[in-house]
Amino acid sequence: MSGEAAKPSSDYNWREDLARFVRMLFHFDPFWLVAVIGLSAALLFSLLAQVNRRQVQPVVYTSQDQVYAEPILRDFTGQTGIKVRAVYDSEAVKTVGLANRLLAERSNPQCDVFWNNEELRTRQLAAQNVFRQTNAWAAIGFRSRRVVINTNRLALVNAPRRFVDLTNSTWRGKVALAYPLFGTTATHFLALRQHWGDATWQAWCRALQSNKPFLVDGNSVVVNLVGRGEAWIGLTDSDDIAAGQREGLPLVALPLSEEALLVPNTVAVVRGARHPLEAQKLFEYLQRPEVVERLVAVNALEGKSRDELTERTLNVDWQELLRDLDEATAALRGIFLRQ
Amino acid sequence: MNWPLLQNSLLVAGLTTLFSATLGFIAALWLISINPVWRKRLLAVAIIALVLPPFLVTNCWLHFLGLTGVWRAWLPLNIYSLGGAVWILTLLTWPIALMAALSAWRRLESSLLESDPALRGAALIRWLLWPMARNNLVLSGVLVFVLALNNFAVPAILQVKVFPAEMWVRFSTNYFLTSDGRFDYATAAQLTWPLIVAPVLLLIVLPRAEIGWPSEHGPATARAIRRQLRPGWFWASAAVSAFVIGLSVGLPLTQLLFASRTWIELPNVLRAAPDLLWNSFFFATVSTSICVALAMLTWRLPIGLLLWLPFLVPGVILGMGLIYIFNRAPVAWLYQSGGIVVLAFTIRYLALGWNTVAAAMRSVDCNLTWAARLDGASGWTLFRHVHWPQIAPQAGAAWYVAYLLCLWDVESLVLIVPPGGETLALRVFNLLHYGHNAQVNALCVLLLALAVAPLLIWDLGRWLKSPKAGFRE
Repeated sequence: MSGEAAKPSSDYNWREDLARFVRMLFHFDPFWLVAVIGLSAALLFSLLAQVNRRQVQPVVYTSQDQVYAEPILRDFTGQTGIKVRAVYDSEAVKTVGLANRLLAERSNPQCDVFWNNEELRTRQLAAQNVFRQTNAWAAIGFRSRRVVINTNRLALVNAPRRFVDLTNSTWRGKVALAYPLFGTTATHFLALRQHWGDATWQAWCRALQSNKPFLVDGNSVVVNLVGRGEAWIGLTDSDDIAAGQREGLPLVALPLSEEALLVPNTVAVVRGARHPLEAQKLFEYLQRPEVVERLVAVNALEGKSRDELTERTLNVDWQELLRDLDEATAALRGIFLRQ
Repeated sequence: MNWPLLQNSLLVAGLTTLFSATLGFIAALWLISINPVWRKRLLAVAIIALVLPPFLVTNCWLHFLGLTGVWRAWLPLNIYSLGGAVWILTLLTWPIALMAALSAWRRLESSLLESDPALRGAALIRWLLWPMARNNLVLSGVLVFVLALNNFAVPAILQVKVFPAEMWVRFSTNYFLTSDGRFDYATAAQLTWPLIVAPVLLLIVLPRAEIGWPSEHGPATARAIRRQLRPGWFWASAAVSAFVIGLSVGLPLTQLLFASRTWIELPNVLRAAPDLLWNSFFFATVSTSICVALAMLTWRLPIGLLLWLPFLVPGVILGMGLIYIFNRAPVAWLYQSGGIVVLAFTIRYLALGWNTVAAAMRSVDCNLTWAARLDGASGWTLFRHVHWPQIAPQAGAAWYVAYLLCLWDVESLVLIVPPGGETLALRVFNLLHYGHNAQVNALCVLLLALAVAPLLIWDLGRWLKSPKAGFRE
């Protein structure tokens, strides 16, 4: 090849060349597809590359409301310098998504700390040895299961005082509750079974079901239905009632009774956690009084400790409850999941 | 097995599919015979119905027809019924059939309309439009059937007991795990077969692939179709379409957009959620693009029916399966990254992209293919110049439907989402649980924006390619 031939011609214009190339790209229809796939692949690889960098950060799975949990975790990072990566639970899986995930990941745990907003699942997981052997979990603060009424529909003085009253024909088609097979409603029903005995409990469940209650898929839906007056009375969680009141719904919660259930938050360290030291620090931090106070202040919790209550509430024998869980769930399914 | 609940589920899903296909077909009749610019705009409006969250639409109808509803006095319809659930699910899903029919009719030849002047009105629909759209409509019907069958939120709020409730109970008590922590295939199979068998039967009776008739005269114009459709059909379909768009999009959207707190919360949500916005867009775009690309590469393989399986099983079971496979040392890097979400979406929605693209590839004009081969075209050149222009509408429609489903998918990713990989849909459900309704509404607005974003990007691309933009020679 001669030197002259290799030399670019003097009238070469790179701008024209570039413009021709751009025109070609736009003329080429699958360009968009190729561009999207190429860009996505590049980003995916960059995402994967971040995995190594994140190896040193502990992971927390939490079913506490993200709006409340996020600032607390951020403050923990500020105070300790330990950045926490969080996975939050979702209503879409009836609040057992993370519990299922912890069980499924048991052979190779990804989570270090489990911050749960109720107690039954934590106890179930503890029974399955998902948490470490000693000092595995702790309860913090409490919410409660409450009866809520729509004040536009029902005067406080006329509201039912005992759960057995909910089966009166006066309240036919006017009571709303979440399916008592999921979440805190299930726990509450199981605790009532202990309190009343199986025969009375089953009779009450049957009477309640035949009184045509609204059975919905979550406690927030209960609040919504009662708030808009579709139902007059609801069985739900105290924090959901607080959220409804914040939205301006005409709701009021009835006082605690001996049929009410207290639902603490729980925090647990996972067995085989990848970051045991950081997990322990977070475990301790979440039990600090000032953290609990913050949760109470935003209505995520109702109180700091059961000891501060003067009212009597349901006292649950958890061992017995866990032992009878399958039997009681089968009974609930037979009563509430029929056509 | 809870047979009454299964019967309820099949009834809800079957009726929803029937009504959704009917409304989608009627609306497509109108849209195909109007100006393409308006067609595109109305299609974009109709698609909003697909993106509206079920709980939002249900609450909207409770506002109108609930026990204390504002229409209740003069329209005493009982929304708390199986009919109510079917009605709301139909309003949520009818655009799928609309897109399916429109995509099929893109291949309508002008010569077909001109060959027989007597082919008009009902005859045009009976002998030309229906046979052309049938395959796509059956495919969209399967999709609607599965979506309705798996929906729990709408029937639960409206007090209709359905089979997914049974599945959730087992999921929250048995966890689909054996006592030693292994995935319990037996329980999972026992619970999911009813959700799989019915759609698979539908797929088996799916009409075979269309014949790739030669294209010689170019596509029919909207004016020609409108002429042949006759005014009666045109105006009747226009009235039905306007009514359906008004009820499925107008009413819920008005409630959403006219709530002042939606707009107060929007800036806060935008500030707090750039990662969520990006994650949603990224996961949906990458997954659906991979689905379509894989379909183009493998459409000849006889795997169409098999690919439906991951789409038909409940997302949480898919998630459990993925944890079981990928949460181990050699592939932990994938499990700990957003790659696992992309993989889950790809597996779940591959059937949709694959079957649509494969059907389109099987029906390309064989004359054109032979002519191009004689001219020496093969491989990529053949695909680029002959196949792609013919399959692009169907491939685009499949991509877009899968993209929309990915945007709202919570079930598949809720068990596998890595820390920091949260999507808008996940955050919506999280906030919903705690009653942050205004923030949920603001996030829904963002999701709507993401849903129409590909249409806007597509239009921008078309504009850039147009002579006005100066990019063409």
